[in-house]
Amino acid sequence: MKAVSSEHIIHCIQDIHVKELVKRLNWSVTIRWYYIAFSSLLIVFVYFLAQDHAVSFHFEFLIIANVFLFCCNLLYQYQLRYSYDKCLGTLDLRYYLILQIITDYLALTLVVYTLGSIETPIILMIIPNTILATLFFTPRQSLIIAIFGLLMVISPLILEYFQLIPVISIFNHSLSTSFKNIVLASPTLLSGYIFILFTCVIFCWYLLCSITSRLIKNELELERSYQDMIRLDKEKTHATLRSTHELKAPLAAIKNYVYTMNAGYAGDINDKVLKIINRIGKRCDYLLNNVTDIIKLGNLKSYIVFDAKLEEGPEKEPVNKNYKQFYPINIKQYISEFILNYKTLSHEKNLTIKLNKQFSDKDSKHKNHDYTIMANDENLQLIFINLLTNAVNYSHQNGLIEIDISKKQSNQKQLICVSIRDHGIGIDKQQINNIFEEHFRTNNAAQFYEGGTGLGLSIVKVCSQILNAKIQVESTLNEGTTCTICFNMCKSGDSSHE
Amino acid sequence: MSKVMIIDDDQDIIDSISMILEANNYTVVAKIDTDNLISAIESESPDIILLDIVFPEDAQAGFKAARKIALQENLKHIPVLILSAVNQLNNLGFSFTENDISHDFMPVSGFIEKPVEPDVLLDKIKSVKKNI
Repeated sequence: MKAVSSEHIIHCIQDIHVKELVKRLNWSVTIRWYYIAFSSLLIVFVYFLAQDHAVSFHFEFLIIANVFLFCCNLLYQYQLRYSYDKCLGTLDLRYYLILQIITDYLALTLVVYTLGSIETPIILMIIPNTILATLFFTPRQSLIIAIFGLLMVISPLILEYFQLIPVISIFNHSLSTSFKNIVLASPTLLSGYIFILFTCVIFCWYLLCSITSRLIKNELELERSYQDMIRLDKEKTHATLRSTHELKAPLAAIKNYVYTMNAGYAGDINDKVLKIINRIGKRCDYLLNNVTDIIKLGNLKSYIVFDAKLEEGPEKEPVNKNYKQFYPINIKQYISEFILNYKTLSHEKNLTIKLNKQFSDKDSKHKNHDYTIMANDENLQLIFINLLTNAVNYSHQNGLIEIDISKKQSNQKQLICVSIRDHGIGIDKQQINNIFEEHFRTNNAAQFYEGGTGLGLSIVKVCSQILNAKIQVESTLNEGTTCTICFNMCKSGDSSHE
Repeated sequence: MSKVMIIDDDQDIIDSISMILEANNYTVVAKIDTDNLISAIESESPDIILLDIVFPEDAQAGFKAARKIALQENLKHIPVLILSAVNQLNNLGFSFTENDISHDFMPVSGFIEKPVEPDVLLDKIKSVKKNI
């Protein structure tokens, strides 16, 4: 029988402590199943051994302990499923934990009595439950649980001493039985033995408590940092919203006047003034785009954290630590829809956007799945809107933009590459390495198209880092530019992370 | 003649939009904050409301105002168009899209990005009027 999977439960319960508690409860149930299976085999083995050597042994107690554990564990497994369905809090789950610990102590008491209350070290099996108790209860509560457990498991010894139950042992005529009889006959020795047991358990409890309290302290600090991070992120978003508004609102007002005058709502304007008004409008557009791009880039950069460890490696790679969720996207379908939505961009220059044959292929569903990547719409849109806008802005009138999709193999990774190729002004080979720098523009680009901010490719670069994609630009001056972005193909298992 | 109420903290936006609307036979009334908004709307009874989102005292005052209007039985029939410089075209992580329009979260009829071209503004107002 399989215990409820931890991932399944974690999906439902978000709280970090509850998650941890459910995980441990799940482990506890699983370990109990293993114990039941192992001890059952051992009982059978010892039974046949006892038959061969004509030894009398109380198997019935061990069988009762195992059946009891089996029934309780079935119940606990059901409880775990219930806790998953009902999303129970830490308090309810702690009751379950106490119940499980008491069950274990009861079964252990019976086993200790059967095998011998002094002869076997099985008594020390209360320690695993002491560990569990120190993890999820206060030190005081866990001490009470540990002492309670110890009292339970030594109870057969005390009852044997007062002759309330018969003295039994797995070793019938051995030296250990004689030792047990000596201990039982001497109150001093018995008290000494119980004292040693108490000392051992309390020492273990103290050790575990000091370790777990340190762990809990670290965990709390982590949690506090995480909460601070969330708060700062909210504040940052709020500040960005404010600054965007404060920077954009006056420009929007100026531009609105430009539109109003241009459309003749402010009366007749001579050509010279109209020309100046249009120039004001264009500079306004540039500033509006620039403000938006600067804030956009700043926002995106905050999602990228460079891992110091990786920087030591041969290839510096950014580590994606953004908290936005990725989900499977069929890139082929995405690009087709994207081009349909943004085709109007090409109208002013009468450009033709041509998708390669792959896009029009009516592949089977299985083949289409091969074009799935893990990404999000926000980053993809920023990448492709900037690449397509660049291709449009730097193309000549009536030009052609070709979009291609292909699969590649690189370092045992399956890649899906999307290329956008224009036949425009191109970039000087010596300047290719600078084009991802913020605000960088080549002289011929600035002369050909005034409105560029020099931030588009920087945004594309940051977005591709967030998506763990690689961008490559090839260009020949006066011939055109090809921008290729390669995404990791979605593994079949990834699609479930949606 | 339809009456449009512009609620925006920017007097220049109010003036430029008023010029366009008045030239197209709309009556324009304006308000530069969201204080006592409900009583102002009740007394003016506009046919359409153009509402800014960010106001000096509250970055979400526009949304709150839209929700207040939607809760008023006598005002909820008035279409509200959000007029903002921070909208879906910015892709800034806090942008709003037409998909966010919902009765509880954003009870409005549409979005207009500032700056707005006169034709776009007039078309949007006409399309909202048609749907009344």
